[in-house]
Amino acid sequence: MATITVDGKTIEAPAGAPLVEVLKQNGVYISNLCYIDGLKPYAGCRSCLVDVQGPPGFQLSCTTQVQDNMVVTTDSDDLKDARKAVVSIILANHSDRCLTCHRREHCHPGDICLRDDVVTHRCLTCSKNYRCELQATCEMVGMSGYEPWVGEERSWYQTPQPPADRANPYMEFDPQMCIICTRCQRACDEKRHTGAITLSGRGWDTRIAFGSGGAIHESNCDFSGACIDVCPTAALMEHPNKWVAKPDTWTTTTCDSCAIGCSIKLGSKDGRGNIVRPNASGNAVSGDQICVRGRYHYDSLKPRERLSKHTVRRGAIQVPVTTDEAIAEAARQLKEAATRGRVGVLVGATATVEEAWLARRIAAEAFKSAADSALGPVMRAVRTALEARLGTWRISGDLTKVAAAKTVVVIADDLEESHNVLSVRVKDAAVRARAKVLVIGSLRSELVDFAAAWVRPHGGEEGLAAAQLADAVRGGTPPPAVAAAVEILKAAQPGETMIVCAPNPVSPAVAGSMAAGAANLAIALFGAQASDHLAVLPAEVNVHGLQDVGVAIEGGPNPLDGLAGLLVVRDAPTMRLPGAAAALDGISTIVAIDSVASGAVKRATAVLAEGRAYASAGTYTQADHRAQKLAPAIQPEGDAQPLFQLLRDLGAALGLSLPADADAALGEVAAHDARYRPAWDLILGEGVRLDVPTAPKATAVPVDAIAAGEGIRIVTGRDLYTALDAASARHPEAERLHRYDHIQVSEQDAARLGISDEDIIEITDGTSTVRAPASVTERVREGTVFVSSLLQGGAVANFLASSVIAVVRVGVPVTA
Amino acid sequence: MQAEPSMQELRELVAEFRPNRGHVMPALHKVQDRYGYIPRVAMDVIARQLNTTPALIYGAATFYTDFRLHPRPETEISWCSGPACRLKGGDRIREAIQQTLEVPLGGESEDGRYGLHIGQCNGTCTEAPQVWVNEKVVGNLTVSKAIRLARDVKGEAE
Repeated sequence: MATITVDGKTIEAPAGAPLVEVLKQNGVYISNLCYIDGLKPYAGCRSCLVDVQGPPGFQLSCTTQVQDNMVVTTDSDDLKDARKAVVSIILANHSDRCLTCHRREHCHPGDICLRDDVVTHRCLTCSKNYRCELQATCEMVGMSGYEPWVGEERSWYQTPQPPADRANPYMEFDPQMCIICTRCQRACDEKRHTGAITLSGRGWDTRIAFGSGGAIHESNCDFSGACIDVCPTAALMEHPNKWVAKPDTWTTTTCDSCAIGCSIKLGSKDGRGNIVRPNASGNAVSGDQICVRGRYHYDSLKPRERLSKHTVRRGAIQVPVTTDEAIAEAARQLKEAATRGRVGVLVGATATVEEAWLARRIAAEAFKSAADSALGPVMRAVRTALEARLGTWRISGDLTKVAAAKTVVVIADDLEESHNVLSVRVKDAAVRARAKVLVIGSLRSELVDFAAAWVRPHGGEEGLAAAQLADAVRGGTPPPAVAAAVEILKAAQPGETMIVCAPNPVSPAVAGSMAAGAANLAIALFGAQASDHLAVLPAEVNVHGLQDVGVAIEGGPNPLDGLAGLLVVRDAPTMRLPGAAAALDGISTIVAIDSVASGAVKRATAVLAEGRAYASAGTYTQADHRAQKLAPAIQPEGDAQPLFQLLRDLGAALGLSLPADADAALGEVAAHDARYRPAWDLILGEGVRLDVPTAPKATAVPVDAIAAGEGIRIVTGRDLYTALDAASARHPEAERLHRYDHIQVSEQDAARLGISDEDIIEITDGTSTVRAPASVTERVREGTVFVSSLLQGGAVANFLASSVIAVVRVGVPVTA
Repeated sequence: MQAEPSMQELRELVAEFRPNRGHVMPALHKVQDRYGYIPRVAMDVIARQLNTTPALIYGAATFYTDFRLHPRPETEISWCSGPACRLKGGDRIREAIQQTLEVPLGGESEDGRYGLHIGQCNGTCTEAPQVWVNEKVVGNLTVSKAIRLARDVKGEAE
């Protein structure tokens, strides 16, 4: 600690800290337009001037480091004038008046304009009015009435800026508002390691640019919005935040888009979401980062596109009914089906622990069956593979250790796309901790750019490749192609190594093999401590929570087999299970609870409209058994009710006595499973890791190659942009950038087959066919095609009916 | 004007460069020497080859006025912005050429036949004030010579 004097006051501060940060924490206002906590000081805006006794002239408090006995002045008249001078230079080229008016050149300060704007209120038309850092800075340095144009001949900008980039569905970049503070460029580089933003040109023409100078969506930007979080002005904003509405309520909750479960703050107005920001003090893995799904998928469907009425099928049509009628009818139908045969319950993995607990109780007590999930076959394949090797499926590796690890092994389809924020943490390790990253995957993911070694197995053989590396580490002679990877593994030290495995979300065979290979590798490296160095990331947010309350533990290879009735709790069997559409058509009673018109809803005999996860209160259990809370951040549309309430009322109509609210339900869970006791005490915004001990055994079991036929293999996986709920309803805008509604073909295969970008192509295995435009890319290895797991409502599942690696014929369709 | 080069062609062109910041400029020069400009796809290819981002390459390419991101016009007049030329009336020469060609500095004609570009002093100040027409020095200009030169380039009879 150092002792410094600021304006006559004595302050204790850590030596070496940026002075501006210390001043801010001690309640001294210093304008800082380019400095922001968390990014390296840049010294670009030069508005954070202070006077430090000793060196001549004024110093920048962002680059000045605290030293013992430093004497600092922040409020002398000279300093105030100097700060005003600096800010006036910034304002000289910042558009600050009547941005949308074509008459602005003719207006003078004090005029009453034809649009009834008082011209001196120059920020009036800006969407960031009253929440703009530049505006606040002007106020604080005493320049609120400053008129940069008075007495000057010019009437508008010295350097006209290019028009705003509004060409993508997510965010908007308006260079007119930009003050070139470079916070966005540094956030993209230092926090995301994406580097999509640069300064182009020089001098007066210097501008922020994306990628190689085109529109944002043509660059390598992945729309995480980290730049939006740091932008001091309205230069970078989300579309809805800019044009639709400002939030009136902020709710701390948890993102429902993947198993990282980032902590978020969801802003809403009148019960509808309109902005998401990361909640840095929640989930320790996500910290201040979220991804495009977290930031924009609250808006994956417009409110009017969600279910707002409960319906009951009468003949060919679904007739709207009241909530009470719908619940009574659903209960009647299910009871009737139970007299005919087995009634199944499918629970989607975005249901909370509490909701899954109710569903499980309904299944067990009303229908004497075990609740399953459409993801069940994949979950069971992963569980079986892990239990065979480690004796448990609850793996003890802590994901917060990834960012500081010295060696990271990634076994995944494409971690960047499936679990984006964890991929950022792997990049943190590579860039900041100089970790050696080993990527095992058939797709060329963005992580490959950060990898010290990349093992590229054929599609579906990721687990086999990991197991072979495990054998090589144990003493076999590695093939020369993987020698570099084996060197990295042999140098991996316990305590500073993490093996991250994200099993495939669609194919049970491939998912099981990936988990098995990862476990074998962890065992080969760390023996009895293997599970402390391993993390297995499930396909959806609350898979572990579902398993903890006993959902999808028991079940066959196809959860739809042999059912007389089915209760679907926010699940999408048509998106996950081969031949599900036909199987559902064969079930005479289907009660579906969902917020979108999914494949199951369309075939249902009774539909209960619910309000999606952001309307729920409850708990999620993430990939590394971290419990995070959800709070109701939005209102269900129309007659729709929160899922918990519908399940409780349905249970009552079936004659069960279920807990009244989520808290009581979690109490029952905690009584059933003591590990959940800390989760019961959690308050919003906190997270806690449930107690997961080191796995009881560590025995490598050989991983067999999965059989594959002759042909081009299908590689599938979760893509970054498609919204799960919109995809389950086969919404044409489920993927708004239209990158993953394509079939990706390798350059070599495309050349051989004469396929170019955007050609409509067809892949077929003789039974199932998918037709989509082609995208020729080096991401895909020769001999494979990549099809997003969510393309066309999960059409790829139909190719994965048998437990072999699916192969297809690829070609341009013959038009009749 | 050449068509956009293919990815394969570009990859081969920059295959010799390694992930090293020092290789950014030589790679950009090599592409510009070959095509007369730096196509956008080339920045992606260089970025991949140097294991960096297209944004970094773009930032470098836009910093230097000599790198151009659009195909060069058939005939290009580079106006010398060096101090010797300007002391000897170079600004008048520029105005004369701009008005005759009806393009601003850094602009080109709609049909892409001719353009005016800013050039940096190359040391042949004895020729001041000068321009380069497709890299050939035309020196000791006067305003009337400059107008004639520009008319020739524009293809107008006197």
